[in-house]
Amino acid sequence: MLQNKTILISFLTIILIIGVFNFTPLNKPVKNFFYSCFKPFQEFFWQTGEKISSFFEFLREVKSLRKENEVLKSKINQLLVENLTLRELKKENEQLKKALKISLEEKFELEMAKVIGKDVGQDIFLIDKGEKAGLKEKMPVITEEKILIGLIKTVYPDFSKVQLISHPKISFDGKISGKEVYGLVRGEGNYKVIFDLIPKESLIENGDLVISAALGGLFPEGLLIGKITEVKKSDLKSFQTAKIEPAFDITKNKKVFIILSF
Amino acid sequence: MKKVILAFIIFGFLVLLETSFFVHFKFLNTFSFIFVLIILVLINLFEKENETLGIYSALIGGFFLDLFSEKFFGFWLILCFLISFFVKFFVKRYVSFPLF
Repeated sequence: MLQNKTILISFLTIILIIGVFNFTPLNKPVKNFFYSCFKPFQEFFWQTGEKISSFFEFLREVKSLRKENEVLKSKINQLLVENLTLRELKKENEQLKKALKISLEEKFELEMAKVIGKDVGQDIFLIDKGEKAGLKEKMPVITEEKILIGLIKTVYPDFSKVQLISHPKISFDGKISGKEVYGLVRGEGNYKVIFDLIPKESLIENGDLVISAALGGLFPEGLLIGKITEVKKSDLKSFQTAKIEPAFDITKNKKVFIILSF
Repeated sequence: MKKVILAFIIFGFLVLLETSFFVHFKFLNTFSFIFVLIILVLINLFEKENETLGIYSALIGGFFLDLFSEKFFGFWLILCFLISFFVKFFVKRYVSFPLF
C-alpha cells in the first residue's frame, strides 16, 4: 500500500518535473542555480582528477622513459641546429604579426572561460561564462593555440554548454592544410572525428593537418582541427574518408576562448 | 527521511564526480553514469520489500543526472525510475536480499 502511494507520488513528480523543465522558461534559471551551487565542488574535483590522472600518466610513462631518453639525446643536437633557424624565423614572424596585427586577440573578439564539468554521457562541456559575459549560441570555442574545440550549444546566465567537434550532431567544412582538399568534418561521439566526403582523386596522407574552412560560415577559417591518422578508400564509394585525431584535449585545456565575433 | 537526505548527498556527490573527476580517466569518462545506476540497482535489490528508499533514490539520482545532461529533462529520471521499478518488482520476485 505504502509502495503504491510512493509510486503514484513519484510518477506525478516525474510528470511535474518534465513539464516544468521542458515547457516553461524555468529550465535555465534552475539549472544555472544548481551549477552555481556545484561550481566550487566541480572545480575542486576537476583539479583533483587532473592531478591524479597526470600522476598515473607519469607512472605509465616512466617505463618507457629510459628508451626515450636515448633517442632524445641523439635528437638534441639535431634540434639545436633547427632551433637556431627557428629563433630567426620567430623574430621575423613576430615582426610580421605586429605589422599585420594578426595576433589571436586582434584577429578575433575573444572571451576567456574555464572548463568546469562534462555532460553526462555526451561530448558536451560546461564552462563558467554565460549570457552575462555576452555569450550566444553557436559561437565557436577555441584554445589559446587556435585549436578548434567546438561551439556553444546552450547559454545560461552564468554558464554555457560547449558541444565538442566530436559530438555526432556537429558537421562542418574542413580542408587539408597546404592543399586544396576540402571535405566534411563530422563528429562520431566519444572524442572521435571523421573527415568525410573527400574527393576520391585527392591525395591525402597520414599526418596531414586538417583545418577549418569558412565555406559553411560556422567557424572562421584556419583553425586547427587535428591530424589525419587513417585514410579509407573504397572502389565502391565515390568519396574517401579519413579518421582525424583531434588536436584538442579538453581535460588538459582548462582555459578556453570563445570567439564573440569573426 | 534521514535515508532520503543521505541518498540526496550520495547521488549529488556521485554526479559531481562523474561530471568533473572521472572525466580525466579515459576508461571511466564515457560511461561514468553507470555508477549512479549501479548504486540504484543495489539499493533496490537489497532493501526490504515494503521500503521506498529505492524509488526515492531513482528520483534523486535521475534528477541530478538530468541537471548535468543536455538530453531532454526527464530522460534520466524516467530511466532511473524504470530501472528501480524493474528491479523492485521483477528481479526481486526471484532474488531477495532483505538486509536493510
